[in-house]
Amino acid sequence: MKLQPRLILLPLLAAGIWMFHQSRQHRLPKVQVADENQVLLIGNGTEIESLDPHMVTGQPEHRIISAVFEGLVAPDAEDPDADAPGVAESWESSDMQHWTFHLRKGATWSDGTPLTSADFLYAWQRILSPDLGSQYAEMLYLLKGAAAFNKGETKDFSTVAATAPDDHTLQLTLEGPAPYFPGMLKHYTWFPVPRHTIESFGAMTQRDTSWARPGSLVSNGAFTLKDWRINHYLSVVKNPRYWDAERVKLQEIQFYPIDNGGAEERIFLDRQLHVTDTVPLAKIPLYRVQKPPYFEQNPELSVEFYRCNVTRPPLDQAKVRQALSLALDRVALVDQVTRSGNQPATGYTPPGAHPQYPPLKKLGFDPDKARQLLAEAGFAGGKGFRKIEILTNSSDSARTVAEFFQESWKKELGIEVGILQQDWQVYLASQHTLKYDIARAGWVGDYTDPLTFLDILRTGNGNNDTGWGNPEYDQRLDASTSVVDIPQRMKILHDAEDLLLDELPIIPVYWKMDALLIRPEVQGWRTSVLGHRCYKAISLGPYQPLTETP
Amino acid sequence: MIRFILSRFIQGIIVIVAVLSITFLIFRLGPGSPFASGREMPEYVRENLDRIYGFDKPIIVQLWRHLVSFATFDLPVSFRLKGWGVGEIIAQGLPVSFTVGGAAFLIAILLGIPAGALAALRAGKLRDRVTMAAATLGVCVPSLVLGPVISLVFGLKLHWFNTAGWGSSGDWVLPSVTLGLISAAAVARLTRGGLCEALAADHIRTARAKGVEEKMIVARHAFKLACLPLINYLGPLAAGLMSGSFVTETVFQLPGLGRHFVSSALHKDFTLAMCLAGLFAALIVIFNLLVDILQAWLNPRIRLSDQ
Repeated sequence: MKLQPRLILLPLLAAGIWMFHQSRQHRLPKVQVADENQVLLIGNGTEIESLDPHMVTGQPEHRIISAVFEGLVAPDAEDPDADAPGVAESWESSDMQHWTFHLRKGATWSDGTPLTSADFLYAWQRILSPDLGSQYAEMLYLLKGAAAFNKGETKDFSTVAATAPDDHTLQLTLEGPAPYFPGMLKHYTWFPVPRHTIESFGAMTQRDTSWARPGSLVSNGAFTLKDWRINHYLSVVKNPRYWDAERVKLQEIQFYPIDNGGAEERIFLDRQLHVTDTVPLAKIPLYRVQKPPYFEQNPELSVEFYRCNVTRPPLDQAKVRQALSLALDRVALVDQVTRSGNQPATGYTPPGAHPQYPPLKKLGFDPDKARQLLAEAGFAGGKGFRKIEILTNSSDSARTVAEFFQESWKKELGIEVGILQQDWQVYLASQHTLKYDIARAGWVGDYTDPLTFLDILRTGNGNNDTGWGNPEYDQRLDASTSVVDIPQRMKILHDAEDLLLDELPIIPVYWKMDALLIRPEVQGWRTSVLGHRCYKAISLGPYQPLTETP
Repeated sequence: MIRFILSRFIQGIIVIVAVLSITFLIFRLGPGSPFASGREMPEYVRENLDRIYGFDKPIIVQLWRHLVSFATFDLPVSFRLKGWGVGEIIAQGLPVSFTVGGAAFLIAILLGIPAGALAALRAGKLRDRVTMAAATLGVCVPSLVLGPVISLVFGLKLHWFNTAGWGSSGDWVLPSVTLGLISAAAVARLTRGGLCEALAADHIRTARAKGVEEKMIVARHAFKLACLPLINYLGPLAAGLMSGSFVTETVFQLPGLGRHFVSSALHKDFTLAMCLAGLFAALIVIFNLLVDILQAWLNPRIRLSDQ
């Protein structure tokens, strides 16, 4: 190219880029347009598996299903973990075992069909039907007769102690007194489902029909399903037929399935999301130092622990498991390794499970005692202790924690530990079939009661996966289900947990904190240890730019 | 020609059936279950599910059933995305992957071929060295690094495009540029290599000796020959780009096919995995056929035959 055309072309090119830059840079941010239209944009983690409340088990599903469906009891606007009226206007129980729910008259499905007590009975029959194969039916086992019906021991649903004397009343009898029962009803497994829609797509227990998709899903919550593009977004719009529609301020909620923390953070900072699902683990320490106003951390009802396979020596000895636990400096792990604000576990059940159930303070770091216990078990200085393996899923953060364990046990106890990472489904299968020595695990509470954690370690419980069982432990849990007096009940559960922490089939590590980014214009957003959200209390104020970007 | 296409078509079907069968067997014989979740299900529920989905039948019977359902285009449902047929899932992701992959392919060609050609014509000179250094860098930088950098600079800092997401008019640009730049680097290297070799060939020397203009030599004689190795590469490249890239789709949160490849494998969603693998095999077969036809057209010494 000759010099002259270059001299003309270069400034032209620069001017073009500058004009392009100007026009692109002054586009309205997506959140600003959304604020004006009361459209909430939320990051929702992985893509949901279904909107059929009987076909799912995860948190991302929980967050969307509770926007489009509503149970007898709903999350409270000020404290979503507290109970507020949902489809039921009121409820009562004299002994915490027999419950009566009074449904509001005039409640309807989003297509105008009346919503009655029969819809609840239909939903419970459906989720408990063995032919449907629902993976979360166990949530209803508190209902008398539910377990037997779900296990196929009887085909007569009238053996399940749930009846509807009229269209607006439900009477339920539980296996024992359960003061936490109304709170449990906020879980989607207890929600009603529309019989008229489900059966227009197939039989009650037919799987894989498309009734829960846009265009066909009929629901009863504050919002109804508008659109769902896989791996793209799912949008719900205000349901004008919802009984409390006047209180609903948002016109639409768009849920974005963003399973990559880094991408989600960029999208938030690019003003395309109001609220994120998570914060990238590596960034949490930085945010905790800089404390920008849009960063939030809240306790979750969730515990991270490591399962010990007690069917494999030397982990069959309680002293060995105690030694492993005592050799872990959980404070150092949380402060120097994970650095995400998690709380070092001093017991198993996390704080917040019940106001009258303070966490036990039994676990700690005592390497001398650990060495002594290991010696008593016959492995002084780690001699004769076979090499054991820690099984984790294939995430970097899981590996980091496992490496901390490996290092601690080598240093304090002189034992060799390997790390094995497996893909999620394989990792789950290995635990269930007891093909591991020590496995990373976690548990998220389903309702605010210690039993939601303690129950999984009963002998033979499907989620136990340690091979451990203790009749005395089971007996204490059984005893707790027949006591109405709350302090007495909590004492029994404390005793059970105490026994569990003596035997340590699981080694609790930390209680988790949830982290998210939230824009300043989001109003009425309340935190919940169970991840409940009261969407009708949320609204959007005028657009505000983010300040203090780290 | 028709015999050739017909024989390739039959070979293609055999390849696709083989890919479907191997995918099925890897998933079904490997550990893990499509029903496993963080919460264990009771044994009788598992047995029920096995019965509903025919997992209690011999593996060969299961394989046959699935092959028949694919052959008759009566596509099965996904195990993870309940209530969605695998065909519907792919139909949603395909346009996204085709748009981004197609644009990336064009960027790769439009950038890679001229860059490679310019380098070849100045072989050993500064321009060649700079271009090839850039191309080597492009080949070495993974999309896992390039994607977030492009997203940060042109999305978060300059606000020219959305950092990630899908739905606005310009959302294809950054992911296509990411994929395109990386592929362009490989295209440039291949073009340079092919052209350098072609320019040293006997018939080019003869043409030069006869006094043919250099532009004509390159355009009419050398370039056609230089294209042959490149075209071999472009077939699989097109198939790869069109079927989506997991990393780029994750970085830019695109609802394309690439993410399904990985998530179906992680969740043991083998019906979706089979369908994706079959689709990828079909794309490879089609693009390879196009490559063969194109090569025969460019180089008369290659004869299409089914021998």
